[in-house]
This record gives sequence, structure tokens and C-alpha cells, in this order.
Amino acid sequence: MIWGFRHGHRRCCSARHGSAGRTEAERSLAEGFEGHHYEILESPDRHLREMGFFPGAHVRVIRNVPDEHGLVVGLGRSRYVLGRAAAAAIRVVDRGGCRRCGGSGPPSFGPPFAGGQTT
Amino acid sequence: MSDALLTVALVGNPNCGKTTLFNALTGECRYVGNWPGVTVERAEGAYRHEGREVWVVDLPGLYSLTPFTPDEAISADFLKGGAADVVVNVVDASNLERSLYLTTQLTETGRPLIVALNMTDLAAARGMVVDAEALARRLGCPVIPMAAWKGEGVEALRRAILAATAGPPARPVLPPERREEAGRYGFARETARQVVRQSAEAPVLFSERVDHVVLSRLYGIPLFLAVMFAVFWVTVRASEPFMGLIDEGLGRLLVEGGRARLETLGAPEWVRLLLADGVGAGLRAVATFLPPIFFIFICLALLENSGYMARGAFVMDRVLRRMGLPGRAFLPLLVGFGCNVPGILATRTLPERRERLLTLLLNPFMSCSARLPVYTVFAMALFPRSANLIVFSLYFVGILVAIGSGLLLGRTILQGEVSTTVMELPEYQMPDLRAVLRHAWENVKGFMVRGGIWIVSAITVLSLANGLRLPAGDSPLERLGKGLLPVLRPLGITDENWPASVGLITGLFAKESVVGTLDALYSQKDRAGAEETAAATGDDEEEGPSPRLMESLRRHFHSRVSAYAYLLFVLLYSPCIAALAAIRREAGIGWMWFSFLYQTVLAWTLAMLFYQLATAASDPPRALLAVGSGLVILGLLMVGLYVWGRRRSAR
Repeated sequence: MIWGFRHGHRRCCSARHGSAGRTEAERSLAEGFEGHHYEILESPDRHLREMGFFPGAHVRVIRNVPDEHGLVVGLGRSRYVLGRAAAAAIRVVDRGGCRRCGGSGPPSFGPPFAGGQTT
Repeated sequence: MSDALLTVALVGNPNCGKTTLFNALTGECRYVGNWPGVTVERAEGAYRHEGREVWVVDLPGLYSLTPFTPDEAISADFLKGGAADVVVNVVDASNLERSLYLTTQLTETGRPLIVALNMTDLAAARGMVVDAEALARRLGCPVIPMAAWKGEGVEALRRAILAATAGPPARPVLPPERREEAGRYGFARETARQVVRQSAEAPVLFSERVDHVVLSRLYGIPLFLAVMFAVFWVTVRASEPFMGLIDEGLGRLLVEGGRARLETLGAPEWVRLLLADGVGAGLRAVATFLPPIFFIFICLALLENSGYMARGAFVMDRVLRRMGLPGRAFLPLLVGFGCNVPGILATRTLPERRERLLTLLLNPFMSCSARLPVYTVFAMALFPRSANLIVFSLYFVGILVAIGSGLLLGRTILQGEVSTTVMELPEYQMPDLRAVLRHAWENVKGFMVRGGIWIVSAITVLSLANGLRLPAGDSPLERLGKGLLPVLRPLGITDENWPASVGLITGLFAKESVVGTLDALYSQKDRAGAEETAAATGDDEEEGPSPRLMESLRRHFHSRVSAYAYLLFVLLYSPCIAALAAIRREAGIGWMWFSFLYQTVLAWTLAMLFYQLATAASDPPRALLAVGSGLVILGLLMVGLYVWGRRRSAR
């Protein structure tokens, strides 16, 4: 754990999430847990879709502090700061992948690296 | 093969290395930064290959041909206009899937298309291999693997460009019924699946680890402030010895030496004024300013190349949102520390007009490099022990006033919803020292040409004008300077220090002229004073060396408080003419005048309040009156903006 990076973050091992670290629950990306991989189900903003946040793409939540305006998410090999309002409009489904709670990576990504879908 | 000029457009997503490739192809030295949105204008350059002249157009980055921001519109319009004979789609090999969305659209432009698969070295370092041949088959166009920053693949691309002119245009990869978002994503995903192989599990990136600290709420802002302080500390401390040497050396060689030589040759006084006090002093002033310009650009380029600048936008997001701006507005503001003109142009990366307006109005508060020599010379002359603190404090005041103005304007005349932040965080990388030095050199060269012309011309004209005598015995400049003094007296400028007011006028043309003007006018004023003294005392010895710039400053600014108030005014008053012209181009003449008036009124009021409060103990009633007046002015400004804002909202 890096100092100063502990409180307020949406961490996957929090009580709300449970210890399994894998759920199939649909949620908004703004509610995503740090370290988890999500598959995008719905992305209403055209510009975001053109940047790669399109249905079917996988994103990883790198940093999510609820009272901060932006989330840091990984998409392919890029990392973005994504405004919370925009993230809230993106519907995702949890694909696990959290090292913290024993997940071994996105379960349905196909070959070892699927063309920039995993991070 | 035809000898006609061949036009090649470089197009691709932001931060995929288009400008690096442009430089590699053309041998130009356009600035490359490690953050998206460095290029906001079309850049053009040329090279010859196999006897053919090739004109290369570097376009701002975009994600699709449907533009979202004004800089993207420049690229989309150029491509749709059909001016390009060949389109080179620069693609980040380490981020192929995202890049291919645009590629599918480019295959439909009806132009020959080449895919420059850039950053293959970076992809390989991450264990990724892209099968270029398979990609070429899939896209139906040539794919050239390359690492443009190392020059790898550039020759192959040059050959492919010539070959493409003889070949057919690109064929659309998608049938008409699939040319919508889902069809394009599907194609991009499937293509990436087929051609990208990951040899090992992707490691947690170094950048992510660093960002845990750099972006942290606890350390983010203090770290950012510490980095900025370090930039100014290094700039001031590293420049100091060079500035002293140059001031001394060139003063002896060009000013006193030049004057002595001209006297020996029997040149008339006006020639001595023109060459020694005009051109000589101007060259000395320009050369004295070069060290801080060089060091500040080294520091800023190191930060930009490392990728830290984009993190600044995240760290400052909370502050900017309170002002009604998205976090990405921070990047144009940071560019303003180098020069306000590109900072104003960089507002094109913002999607909303309201945000662009607000950002460009705040940009001149970011103290540009042209103001740095003014601070440095004053700080070294009047605050030698704490010069770096003084310089940092001025930059900090500029930021604070920008925040205050943002809060005020964002709640009055430029109200509105803040757009969503979406910004790519580039990976940290070791700055390329050659590129950093080249960037610093380019700026020093630019300063020598632009600043040199302004400063040498201004000083020459001022020296001549100051040599003229009106019937009353004073010079026209003296009269002009003294005419402005009633306005500047509340800032602590004394009647004897009338050159300070002339400096502010020449500073409107180029901020770096302020010190050059003072140097020229003080030199002449002091020499005249010495001659009068010598005549009065009957001392006919040869005049001593003319006082150095820093000595003159110490002599003419009667206190440190008045010098600091003067610096505050220089920091905050109207942008220079080039920046005003940029505001006019981007926002219109009305906003240009607003910027001029708003900043000048604010500068005078804040500098006056500072001086009066700092010297209140010496004359409390006067200070009370002045402070009251200042507060009334600020109040009227706020009320005026509020009323104007209400009217705008009503419309």
C-alpha cells in the first residue's frame, strides 16, 4: 500500500463489495471498484465511444475516489481521466480481474492479449 | 513520375507521434510534448525524395472525422477538402484497437492511405507484437512499422508515399451498411484480435505506480507546487551567474566601449546615442535575458516530455471546476507559462465556447517567459538574497489572480455547465535530452529574433527620443513619462523615476522591453546627472563607466515595496500586443478589449492596494483613503460584471 492512498477510495475488498471480488452486477462505471475490470454495456456519449469507450470494450478502474470529479480508468493501453458524470452514464458489468481479492484477470478475454482490450 | 508537388497529410489520434514523424520526415524542429493536444494548428514542411518535392501537413489529433473540438475540426476539414494526395494514418502500435476506428473512416476518403504503425518499440517493451503484414492485408493498404523518434521506418515510409501516388486510392474496409459505429468498433476489435499478440501478461505499468503518489489527494497539490517552485528556483539560480557576466561583459564591450571608441573617432553625439546607447544597450539587454529564457524552457520541456503536465490537470481539476472550467483547461494555462500566444491557441482543444473564452481570458495571468527576465533582473537587483522566492511569489500571485478572476467571470459573464473531463494520461517517459535542448534553443532563438527586434528597436528609438530636447529643456519621453506619473504615484513610483512609466508603455509591445527601456533611459539619465555634477564641481575628468542595469534599478526604485508593486503591475496589466491579437483571432475584438481593460484595471488596483497597505504605517490616512478607493473600484468591477452577466443570461 502506498501511503496517502488509502482512504475514500472505492476498493474492491470493502465490506460493501464482499470478499469474492467477482460479481456480474450491472452498474455505472462511476461505481466501479479500483482494480476491477468491467465490460461496457452501454455508452451514450458519441465522443467517448469514438475514444474507445464503446459497448463490448473492457475498462479497468485504476483510481476511484467518490468525492473527486474524475476517475482514472485504463482502456486498452491508454489511461484516461474520465469525469464522474460521464462515467456515471456508462453502464458496465463486472468482469473481476482484481489481484487484491484473488481474481486472475478478466475471465472472457479470449487469447492472452486481445488487441488492446485488457490492461 | 510527375514532378508536381505531392501533398501528404499526417493524421491520427492525439499523442500518437504525428509531430515526431513530421520532424523525422521533414527535418523540422516542431515542438513535441508528451500530452494530447500539443498540436492545435496545421503545420507544414517539405522534403525531397527521389527528385520529388513532398509537402507534409501535420494535423491536430482526432479520434474520428466527426470533430468534437475546433482543433479536430481543422483536421477533419482538411481531409474532407481533398487537398491531400496521400493520407498517412499514424497509429499507436501499443494501442491499436482504438486507433483503427479512425482508420476505417480514412479508408473511405478516396485517397491513397498508408498506415504508419508507430511506437512499435514501446509496444515491444510491453510484450506486444503487431503483425504488420496481416494488418496490411486486413486494411488493404501498406502498413509501415516504425519508431519515429528513433528514425526507424522513416525511409520505408518515404518510399511507400511515393509508391502510393502511383497506386489506387484506399478501398473502404467496410461495406456501406456497416459504416456506423458498431460496424467500425467490430472491425477494429476483430482486426486487433487477429494481428496483435501479447507475449507475456501485461505488467503493472511504472506510470501507474508513480501516479499513486503524484495523483494522490494528500500529496498531489503540494508536489505540484514543489515542482513549480523547483522550476523557478533552478531558473533564477542557474541564470544568475550568466546574467551578471553578460551584463558586465557586454556593457563594457558595447555600451561604454562602443561610446569610447566612437568618441575617439570623433563621432557626433547623436551617433553615439544611436549606436552605443541604442543598439549597444539593446543588444546587452537582449543577451542578459537569454539565460532565464533558456533555463525556464529547459525545465518546462523536461516536465512536458516526462508526462507530468497532464497529471497537473488532474491535480488541479477540483480548483478549475470551481472556476467553471474542466481539468483539461489546465494544459492551455500551463502552456501560457512559456508564452501566452500558444496558450491562447491551445484553448481550441476545449469543446465548449464558454470554456474556451474563460480559459483564454485567464491565460495572460500565467506569467509568460517574456516577463521572467523582468522579474529576474528586479529580484536580483533589489532582493538578492531571496530572488527565487520573489520570482516564485509573482508566478503564484498570477495563479491566484487567475483563480479569483475565474471565480468572478465564471459566476458572472461566463456562467454555464462545466463539460465532462475526458483526458488521456500519457505514460511517463525519460525526456529526450536532445529534444529538450533543441526546444530551449528554438525558444532562445525566437526570443533573440522577436525580442531582439523589439528591444533593440525600442531602445534605439527611446535613446534618440530621449536625446531630443523640447523648448522647456526636457525630452518628449520625459514629458510622456511624467504625464503618466499621477496614475503611477499610488504604486510608489516617484517623479524622478519617470522611465518606469515609459517602460510600461513599451512593455505593451513586448513585455521583455520593460527592462530594456529602463536600462536605456536610466543610463542616459544617470550620465546626464553625472555630467551636470561634474560641471557644477568643475571636475573635468572623463566620465566613469555608465551604471549597470541592476545598480540603476536599486537607485531609481526608492524602496523594495515600490519595486514589488511595479512588478505586480507588470505581471497583471494588459497582455502584450501579440497575445491581444491572438485573443482577437480566437474570440473577437470585443473580448480583446475586455481583456485589455479588465487586466489593466485589476493590475493597477491590486498593485496600488499592495503598496498602500505595505506602507500604511508611514501615512495611515492616505493609505486608508487609497485602500478605500481600491476596494470601491473592485466592488464596481464586480457589480458591473454581475449586471452584464445577468443581461447575457437574459438574452
